[in-house]
Amino acid sequence: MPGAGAWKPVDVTHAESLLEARITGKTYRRPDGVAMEAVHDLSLSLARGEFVCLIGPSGCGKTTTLRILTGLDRDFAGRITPDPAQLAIGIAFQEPRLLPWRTVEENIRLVLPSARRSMDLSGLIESFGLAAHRARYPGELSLGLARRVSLARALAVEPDLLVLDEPFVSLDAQAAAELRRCVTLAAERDGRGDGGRMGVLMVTHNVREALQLADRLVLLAPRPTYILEEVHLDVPRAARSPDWIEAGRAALAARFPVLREV
Amino acid sequence: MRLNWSGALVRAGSLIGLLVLWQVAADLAHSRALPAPEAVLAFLSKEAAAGALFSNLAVTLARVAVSFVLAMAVGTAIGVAFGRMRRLDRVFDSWLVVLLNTPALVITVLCYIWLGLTETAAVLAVALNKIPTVAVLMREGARALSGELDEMAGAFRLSFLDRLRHVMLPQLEPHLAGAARSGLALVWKIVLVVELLGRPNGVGYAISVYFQLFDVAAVLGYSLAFMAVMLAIEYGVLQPFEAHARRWRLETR
Repeated sequence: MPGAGAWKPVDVTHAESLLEARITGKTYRRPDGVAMEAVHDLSLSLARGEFVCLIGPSGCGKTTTLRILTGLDRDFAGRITPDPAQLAIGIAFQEPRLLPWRTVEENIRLVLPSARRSMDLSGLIESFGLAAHRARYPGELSLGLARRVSLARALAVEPDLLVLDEPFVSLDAQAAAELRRCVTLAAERDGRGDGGRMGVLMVTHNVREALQLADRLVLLAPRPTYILEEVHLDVPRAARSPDWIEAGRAALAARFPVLREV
Repeated sequence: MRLNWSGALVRAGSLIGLLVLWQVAADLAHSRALPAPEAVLAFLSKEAAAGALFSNLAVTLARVAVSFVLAMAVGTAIGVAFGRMRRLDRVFDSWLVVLLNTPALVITVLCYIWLGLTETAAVLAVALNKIPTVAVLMREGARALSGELDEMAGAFRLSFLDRLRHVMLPQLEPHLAGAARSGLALVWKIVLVVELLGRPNGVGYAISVYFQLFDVAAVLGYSLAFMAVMLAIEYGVLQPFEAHARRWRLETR
């Protein structure tokens, strides 16, 4: 794993806060008119340099929470500080959401502010193994490759906050491993030059993935969701063996039956 | 684009067949009502030498261009607005249906009555005939715009111009190309009628004059010349534009 040796666990108590969220409630109306409460009393903080995984069963409101935290959904009760509009946010959606009529490189370039539109992206493109694909259209790419492009695009904006929505879902083992390498690379590289580091927020329903990557796990209850428990993982990422991950998963499943299905 | 040689050969052969049929029919009929191809050709070269052919073609082409651009711009704006805003669509959809079903002749006559026999009235009449069909086609395109890509553009805070150019227009392009192709065919046919009714120049005017003189060779000559120009635009401009708009799609053949 490249660069894994340089990884250090973040001392959360001294790290600079990136985002403080307090969502007292989020209700949406289903197409048939029935009101559904998706989130109820959820408080979450994220520090720079921290990798947080939101874990919960399918349909528990993970994606809704993510949309609120990133400012895409502003129709909720509660408060996010600072306003997400003030942060540089890079999002890798579950569906890669690339523009099919633009090439891989154009898709990445497009999200850059106009002053940096013509900057050299070779480093980013090569570190994600996309050099051979930069002139291809997204329709020609496998899902794994398209997700990598989507991740590269999210990182191109040099985000304060990197958001990953189920990045490994429906990938075969090899593509998932390749993408995991890219995510690790992104998380461990100093995201920004001003001394601070990027915070990562990943949503998943796969406990093993979360145990492999995160500094902190946030376990979410079924809908309407709130935080069941937060788990700090102090073992360096590189030292997390398959056995350690399996033991962690079993321990969590024993304490939280809701995680057994995932 | 790949040239399809056998297809081109079949098309050329079929056109030559049509010419031969015309020649045979003209020989058999032996009438002023159906002149032979050579008579039409002779008229065309005489009219071209006099300069009238090109000036009439140019005037008509200019009217086609202005009314086409006007109809595409207004029709696209209306269509996209209707496609994006359901309430607007519900209120004004019936207006669109009324305009869509008003005969071209009625619109033309009313424009001339209200605005006088002017260039503005002529161009407006043609545009008004075309706007509802463009609007209906573009409304479908706007309804199909991807909400996911829209959210992506919002998440990455793309500027309005970038969203328009890189996210919305490429999705609308196939609809735009379709509207343009069907629109051009409609516009140039209506332009001739509008010229016939109230303009002192242009291909439509020339055809009405030669119709009154019962000069069928001239009528056929003008229509052939104009058809040639419009076909050149179709194959030289619109089809390449459409191919360009679709270049990113995977070949499905």
